[in-house]
Amino acid sequence: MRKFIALALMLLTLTAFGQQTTDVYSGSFQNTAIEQVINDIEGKLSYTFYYKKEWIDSLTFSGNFSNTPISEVLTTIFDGTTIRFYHDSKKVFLTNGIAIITTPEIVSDLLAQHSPQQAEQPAEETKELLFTKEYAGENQNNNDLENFVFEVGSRAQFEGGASSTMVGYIKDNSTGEPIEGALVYSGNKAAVTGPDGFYSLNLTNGRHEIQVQFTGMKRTKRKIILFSNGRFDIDMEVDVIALNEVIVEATRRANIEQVNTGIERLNVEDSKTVPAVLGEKDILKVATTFAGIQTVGEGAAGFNVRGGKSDQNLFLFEGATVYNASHFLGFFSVFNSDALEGMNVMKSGIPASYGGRLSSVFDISAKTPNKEEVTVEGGISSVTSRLTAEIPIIKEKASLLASGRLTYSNWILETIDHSDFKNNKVNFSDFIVKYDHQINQENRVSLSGYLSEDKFRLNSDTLFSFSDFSYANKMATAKWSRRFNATFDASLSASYSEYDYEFESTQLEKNAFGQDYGIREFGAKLDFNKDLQSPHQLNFGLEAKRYDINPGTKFPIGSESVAGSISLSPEQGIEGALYVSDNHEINDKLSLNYGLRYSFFTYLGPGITNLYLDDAPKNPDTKTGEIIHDKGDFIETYHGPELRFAARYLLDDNSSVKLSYDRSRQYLHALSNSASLSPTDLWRLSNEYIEPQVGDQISVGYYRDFLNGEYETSVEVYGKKLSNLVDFKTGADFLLNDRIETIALQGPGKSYGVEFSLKKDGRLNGWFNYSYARTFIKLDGSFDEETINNGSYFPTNYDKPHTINLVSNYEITTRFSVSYNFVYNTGRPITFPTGLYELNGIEILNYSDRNEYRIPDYVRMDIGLTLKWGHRLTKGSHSFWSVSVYNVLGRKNAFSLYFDLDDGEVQGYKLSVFGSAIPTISYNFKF
Amino acid sequence: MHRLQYTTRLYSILILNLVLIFSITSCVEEFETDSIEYERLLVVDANISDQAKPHQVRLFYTSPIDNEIQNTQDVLSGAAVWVEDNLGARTDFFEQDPGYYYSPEDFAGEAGKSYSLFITTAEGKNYKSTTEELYAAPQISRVYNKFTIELGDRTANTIPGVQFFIDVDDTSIGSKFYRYEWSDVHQVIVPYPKQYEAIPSQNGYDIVPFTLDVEECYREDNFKELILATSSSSSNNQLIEVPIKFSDVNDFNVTTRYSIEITQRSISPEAYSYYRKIELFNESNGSLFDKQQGLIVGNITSLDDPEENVLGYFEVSGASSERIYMDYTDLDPEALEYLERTCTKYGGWQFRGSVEEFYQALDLPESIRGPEIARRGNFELVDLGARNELFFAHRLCADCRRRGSLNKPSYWE
Repeated sequence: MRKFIALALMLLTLTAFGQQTTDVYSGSFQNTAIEQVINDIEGKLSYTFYYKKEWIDSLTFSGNFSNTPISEVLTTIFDGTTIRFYHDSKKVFLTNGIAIITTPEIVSDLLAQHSPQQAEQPAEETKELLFTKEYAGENQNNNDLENFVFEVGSRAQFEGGASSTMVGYIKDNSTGEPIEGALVYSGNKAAVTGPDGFYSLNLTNGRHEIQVQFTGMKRTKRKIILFSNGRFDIDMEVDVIALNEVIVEATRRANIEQVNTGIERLNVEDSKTVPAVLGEKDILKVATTFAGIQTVGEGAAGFNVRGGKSDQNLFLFEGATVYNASHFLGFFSVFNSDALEGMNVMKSGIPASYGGRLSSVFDISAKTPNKEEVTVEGGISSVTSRLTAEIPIIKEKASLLASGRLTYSNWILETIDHSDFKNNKVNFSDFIVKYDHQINQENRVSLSGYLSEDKFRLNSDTLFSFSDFSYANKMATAKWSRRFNATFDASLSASYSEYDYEFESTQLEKNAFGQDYGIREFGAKLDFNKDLQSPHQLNFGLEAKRYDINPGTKFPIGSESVAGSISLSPEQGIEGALYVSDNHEINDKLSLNYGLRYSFFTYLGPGITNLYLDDAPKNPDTKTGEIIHDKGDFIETYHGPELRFAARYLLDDNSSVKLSYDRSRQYLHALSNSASLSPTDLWRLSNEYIEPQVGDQISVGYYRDFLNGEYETSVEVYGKKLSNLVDFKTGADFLLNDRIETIALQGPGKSYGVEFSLKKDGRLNGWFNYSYARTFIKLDGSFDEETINNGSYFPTNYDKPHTINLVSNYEITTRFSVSYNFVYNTGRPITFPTGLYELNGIEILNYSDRNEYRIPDYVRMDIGLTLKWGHRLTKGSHSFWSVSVYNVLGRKNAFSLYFDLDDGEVQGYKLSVFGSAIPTISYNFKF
Repeated sequence: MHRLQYTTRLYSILILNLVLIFSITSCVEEFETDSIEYERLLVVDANISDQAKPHQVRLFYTSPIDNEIQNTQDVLSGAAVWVEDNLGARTDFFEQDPGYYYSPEDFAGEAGKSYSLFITTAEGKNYKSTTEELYAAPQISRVYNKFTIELGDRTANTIPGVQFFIDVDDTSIGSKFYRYEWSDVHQVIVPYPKQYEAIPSQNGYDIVPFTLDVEECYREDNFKELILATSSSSSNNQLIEVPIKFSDVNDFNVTTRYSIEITQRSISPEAYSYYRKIELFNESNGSLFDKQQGLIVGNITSLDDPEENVLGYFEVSGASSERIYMDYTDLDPEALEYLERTCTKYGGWQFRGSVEEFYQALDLPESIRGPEIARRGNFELVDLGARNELFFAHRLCADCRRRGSLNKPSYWE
């Protein structure tokens, strides 16, 4: 009987010393199959051999033994083959090409001295790095790799007690794709893989258990012995069970290990079973259930992060800026999540390599397409259909991702014979293309493109009545990454992004007009990472951007129209930054990440500077003249340092405290009269009157894991001081306004809050968080029209003190799961009418101080069911149905309140975006 | 077969969802305003123009929003009110009714001069406006109407009607900023003025002669919204198609003649931007894109307490008015297609029998009596025939007072 145990070497680890053997063996063979030789030895000496048959199938042996010691026999037999062996008592373990080290290096060194004949002298072998891939064919059950002991580095260079650097790539074993953002750790040392899956970990020489974690992948363990600097690659397996589940935490242990506060990584898989409105899994929507990330209501396009304004978030897609991340007024994000890899959300402790916005960074990356085989993924829901394909172009080297999403609402609207809908029109689409080419181990090139478009016409809204409205995002990125050596790599990227909108009002033929707006951004970034082989890891680089803005043009439509043409003069600017940061591990417990970013901005000519009376508010009446600037003139330049600092101290294995401070400067401002971002927002540049916004944030947190990381908890407290926040004079009209200084106000702001968060893993998984957050602004100008609420601090439009989010998912069987969401938050501030009067025969409401009142609190519950089909991995295709009911209570949550005057009667109205429960069904597939 | 079912099911879900999505903006509920605190502020409603007439300054306080506007209550009475021009000439206003102050009848502003308003209350509080220049108003060149379909208020119903527009061919003399006022009148001459009347009594109806002449009435109405326009972006100094007033086509169902007078006021850029703010607030309500609302302070300030907010505006304008008369048949022919002339449609109704019998048929079940009978509820007795037959007519066509008043405006030509 064949004892077919594949590398169950765990057994050996405790029996440290190989037995001093005195067994001798005799035999004579001529081209005999090795298996037969083994059988003979087993028979004669009552030995047991452990091996896999196919390793030795083709091997033969010729030779004679006469009372030869068994160890010499084994050495002779396997000489010249790839088979290695370990001999212990009456057992012999064979491996194919892998040296087996079972004892701590020091012990085994001693052993080697004491018994020079010890089974194997692996020094030569260890020079060769071992690739787990080599095992792939040999081990159906990869788990056994976890008990295997790998050698890293060269035994010859071993130096006890010193530290060495282990580097390598973490890949997905099914696609061969590198995994970005995986956490590689051992004890208290941890590293996170970069975009190419590369990690670098500094450890003391000796024995370690390395663990790798990444959402959607099985947690992977490897036992290693580190001799010297060396390379060790790890392939991760897709976590089959996790495939369609909510994975509560992207990187377990990241909770306490990560140096920066306020950073969360969100994977697309996370969003799959969170019940979403209208059946779209949506990574950005899931982000709004995290502590500190809010929206002002359903249908609000922008996010408010820790009391930040909605224009203070930097959305990056493959490194290119996204100016409008919402379709259809915020009901959908502009990204088809099937085509996304994941998203890093940074709300504090923002690394020095990012800048330009005060509140947060949402760094969204597209999937790196599968280089092994074609995969297709898609879905049909009530409103959209989507399809994503990953196509290998050159196997294992180059591949293409193509993804698209469309609405078919127009077609449906037309088929509904109901006059209510006849004049409404809603249409959106988005497309993602990415080409990825791994030229060799050192060079990688990726190209990506993005296009989204929205077109709608809503009769019921007064602003857009009978207006056709459309907007589009266009982005493109090219990136070249190069690894110079194990400790030094660089990437160069160029990006382009464009956002345009246009609306047409053609109801009155003679006054028919169109109006448009556009911003274009060209960017380039050079980024370097250098591991100093000491506890320092440097990241440095430079970044440059150019902005071209068409602040608005108005033009007549049709030959009948006498509407005047208006064309505001374009704005141009350049922004640049240099940055350097150091990840410094002072000791096992204390780790720092500090950096400096120096940014500068120039408002470029051609342009006109309006001059105003010195002792009067800036408005069209106080204008005294203008200065004309030529093309290329530096009209105004701003610059300043941005300090970033983060520290983590591990209290014990399961808890840590973190501290961070960062300063950011923002040169681009969205002009918006509404509380949230809307598609008509105008992004305008800082100029001679509009100063850059500057924000400082201090954040402190305590993090603790329970039950081996099944529960993760954290408490974070933050405070922010902001200057030059942009707000508006009452009733400001900023469309087609060439002199925004006459309507804009700038003032200081402050925000503070505390966030409690609990996450749970397992069959019942999900997260719960509570935030208390306040945010205030002060507008105290020198003149009446520049002063709001008597110049005292007042709550901003997006100040929502209490927020509770609960997202939960329970796996009833592997095929069937249910989920439940609960959301509560305080209503946002609003300005109410406090009196009524009549002027010139017109009834007018008088309003309270700005934001003196609040709309009613928001409460919502959602439920969802997910049913999987074709769950077996081998089938190669998966599909699942999901049914969800959004707002299951049917509660009419207020989006806003407004007041109508009718014959001297004031009637208050509450506008709810969703006035009832919304059921959705969607079908999703992947093959 | 299975696939087919699936498609149908999916389709119906799609429809359900879309209905929900696209009715989102109409999900509006009433909201109680009790929680809102009332703020009492002084309001100044003052206008002077280059037209010689008694100009009015009205001083009053804001009223709570859950009350109706009551102009007679809570007024500022007993104040000294006067206007000064840039040459120092002072014109005093006199209080005639509580809170209403008027200039002498011959007072008229002059284009090119600037004026300020002064108020001193009985308690000695002083208020002053900024200095406003008077700009002459150009003449309105044309007033005309065009067929338009308007959307109903917060319902998806459409209303066919006519939009009255004006054109101004040459705005070069004005301030380029205009506020409009209109007043209109419908003349109603009914075809069956009632001679007799059926009065309900214990035994049914008593038929008595009706002596009042209810053949000819007039229905007057005024602007209730801000109507603003600017020629500042016009390429050729023209103002074309300024929408002034929308009328539901059914307003003309019994109208015979119609007249509208439009007053164009040339106002200062500051006044325009003040009104524009008020207009923006009024029109942006209920939108997903609400504007920032807040206190709108005009050009009046307290000289004693700079913290005191004073509402209202001292408006100085050049004014020009244009009146047109038209028959209902002069409406845009497209609009006439939607116009249902009540009296043409229903005509008179000759009935043999008693008034009781005429109306009793209404009590029959709908299936028996048919739609003809149902209309009788709108009819009333107008006359008696020679052979004792009764003549009925639609009530709108029998008594003009149902759509107007018997007072003929003095200006009616």
